[in-house]
Amino acid sequence: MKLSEAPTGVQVEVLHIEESDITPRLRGIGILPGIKIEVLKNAPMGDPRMYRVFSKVITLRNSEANLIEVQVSEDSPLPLTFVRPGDYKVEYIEGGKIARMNLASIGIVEGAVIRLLGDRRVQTDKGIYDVGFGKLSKVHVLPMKALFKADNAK
Amino acid sequence: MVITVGLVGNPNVGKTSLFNRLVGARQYVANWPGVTVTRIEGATTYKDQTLHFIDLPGIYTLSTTSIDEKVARDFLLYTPPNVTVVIIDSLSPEQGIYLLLETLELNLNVIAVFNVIDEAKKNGIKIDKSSLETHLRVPVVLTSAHTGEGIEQLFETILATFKKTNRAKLLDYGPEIESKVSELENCFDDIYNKRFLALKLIEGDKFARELLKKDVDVSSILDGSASNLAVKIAKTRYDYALNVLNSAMRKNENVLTSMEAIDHVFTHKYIGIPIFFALMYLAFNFTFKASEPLVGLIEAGFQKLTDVIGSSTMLTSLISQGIINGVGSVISFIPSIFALFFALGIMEESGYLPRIAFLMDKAMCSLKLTGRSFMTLLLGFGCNVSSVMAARGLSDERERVTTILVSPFVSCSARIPVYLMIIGIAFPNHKAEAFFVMYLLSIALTALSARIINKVVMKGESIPLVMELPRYRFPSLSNVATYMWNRGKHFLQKAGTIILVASIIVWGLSYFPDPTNIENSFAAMIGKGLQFIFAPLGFQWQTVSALLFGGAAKEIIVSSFAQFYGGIENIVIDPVIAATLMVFILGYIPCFATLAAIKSETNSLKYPIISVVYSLFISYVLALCVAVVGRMIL
Repeated sequence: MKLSEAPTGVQVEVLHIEESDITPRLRGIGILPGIKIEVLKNAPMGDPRMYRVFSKVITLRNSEANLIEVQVSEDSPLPLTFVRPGDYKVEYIEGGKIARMNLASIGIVEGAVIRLLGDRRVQTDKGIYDVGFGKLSKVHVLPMKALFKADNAK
Repeated sequence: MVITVGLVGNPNVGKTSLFNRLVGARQYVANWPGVTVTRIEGATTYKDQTLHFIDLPGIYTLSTTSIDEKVARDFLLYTPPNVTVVIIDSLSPEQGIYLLLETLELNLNVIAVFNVIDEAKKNGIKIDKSSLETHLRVPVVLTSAHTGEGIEQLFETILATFKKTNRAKLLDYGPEIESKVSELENCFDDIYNKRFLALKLIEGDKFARELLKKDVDVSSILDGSASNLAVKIAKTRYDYALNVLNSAMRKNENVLTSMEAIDHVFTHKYIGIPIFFALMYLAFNFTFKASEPLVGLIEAGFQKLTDVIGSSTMLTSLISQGIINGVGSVISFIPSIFALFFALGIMEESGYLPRIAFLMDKAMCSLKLTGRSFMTLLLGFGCNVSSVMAARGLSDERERVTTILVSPFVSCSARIPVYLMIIGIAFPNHKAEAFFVMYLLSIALTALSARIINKVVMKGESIPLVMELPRYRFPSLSNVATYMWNRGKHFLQKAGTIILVASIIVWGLSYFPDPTNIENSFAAMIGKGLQFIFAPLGFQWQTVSALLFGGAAKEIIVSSFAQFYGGIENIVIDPVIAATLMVFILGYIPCFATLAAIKSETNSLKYPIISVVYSLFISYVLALCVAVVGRMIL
């Protein structure tokens, strides 16, 4: 996956960078194979985007982010639009107060366990709901199985 | 004995504030040889030693792809300072240590400064200074430019450090790279720092290739693996940096949440841009509210003075009308200009400005410009000459010329007094609103022109944008004051020179040949002679003459109006003509200084001529639209 295609709120690991004029500067900023980058948010129209590299916030245009090949980190929460149907724990919710309130009213809050049913339907404590794509992309989850494994390992 | 001290660091680490702390007001701005990246220097004395500080551009690496990196690298390589201070942000030190490790390879006298230590403490970050010193093998100072903490100690460390000579090499890059480095070192002359150049050569720096001995072929040493090795070198540095930080720094998770909430709103994909415009409107409102009493006071003062002197003889008329009324009418707007720069200074100091570039980049991109040229154009709100000159920092030639050609449409501070005068006369109840509309129009006209110039004059691709968004900071009063003074003082200098001379010439043209009636003066003859051109716009001869003289510098329009009518309070303009006039003034012709800058920067007469013809044409058309539509409505 290219860095420009990674969804916001996700942590990715850099695999490879295509050589170009700005590669030395990218290296100086810390964008190197093996380094983890957090995708923070999009500008209006989805370009450029903000990334966190170590503790600095850097903006890159998608034309440059296209040069960077990444994969989603194993332990990174993913947006609900990015995962298969199954049981998930809500890790965090992106966005402001209004988005959080709307999601809370259908039982999606941070820490809740929910079931994704397919066709953008979500089962929560409060029932089964159809949730729009925009809202789903704001909900970042970890699969219950992975959490179970992590607990066992401890 | 003068000790030279170079300040190196990433952008946004508080380098300039620290520099202000170190040298106070004893600083001056110059240019780096050959480029128009500003070079800020200043000197101070500490314990009978003169310390000469040079503030280098903010960079991430000494590999050079941009002009800023080149300036910093050349300075450190060719004219190494006695002491090099590498400034590192305590809240995001990784990239700073990377730069420090690169700087150490130049074999310089280095001090590592961990700045903004006050914020780090507030966020629960603990830094173990002695552990840092052991691992980095350079003196470490913890400072805060904000509170002044550690400044004294930095001075002491500079004095203690500058005598040291040879330093051990710090990083070992492993046998594969080290063997290549020692092979490559033989390919450079002894006068250079060979290890540094060898490493840069592996990292793919074209500049290092140019410094090779004449008949050396390095392709056999570098073969195809250079790009892999470059990654390895960078990785070694970062691994080292992370190890150092692991043992010397304790971080607190989940800090800065309140700042994230603010940023969520300011860079929001829907409301971010409306908020930007709302803030600009507030800034203009502040400009008027804060400066109004002072402007009134100065105006009244000059009025009194002209009344006392009178204008019965030629000499008293020259003094009261030509000098006091002419120059004074411009000077009385200075509080407004300083108030505006005060407001803009707060926006810049707080870290909001780069966010605007982030929000606007897509729009700028469709005009084939970048966030970087957006920042260059923002300089134009101070003075168009500085944005034309600063365009030298843009690496893409097409973008550079476009930026130069659209610069005159950015409403510079010289136009502020003209708008203020006209708005005060014609729109006394909607000052901030009218002012706001003029700035919006200026931005729209700049964008439109960039579009047209890109379509007609040149074609090409856009260039990359890699920009850091700094943390929000509470702007300090002294930094905002420095910002305001550095941008506003230019205006005072102009008032004493070009505006004074022009005011005297305008006085001469309106005094002779008939001092009793201005309708018979040379100025009136010129104005009436050209009036037919502006008849569709509804301009009087006074306006025509003022516009003609104002071609030299926009403030002269105010000074001419004041003289033709015998004071600003005697002028009457109806709202439609006032609006037409302001729109025309917004674009009509770059001032002499800007034209000269365009000529020298593009090194051809073609572009200044294009600029004059195009701007006259477009502003006449726009003004005509305003006049026609205005008359239909009213």
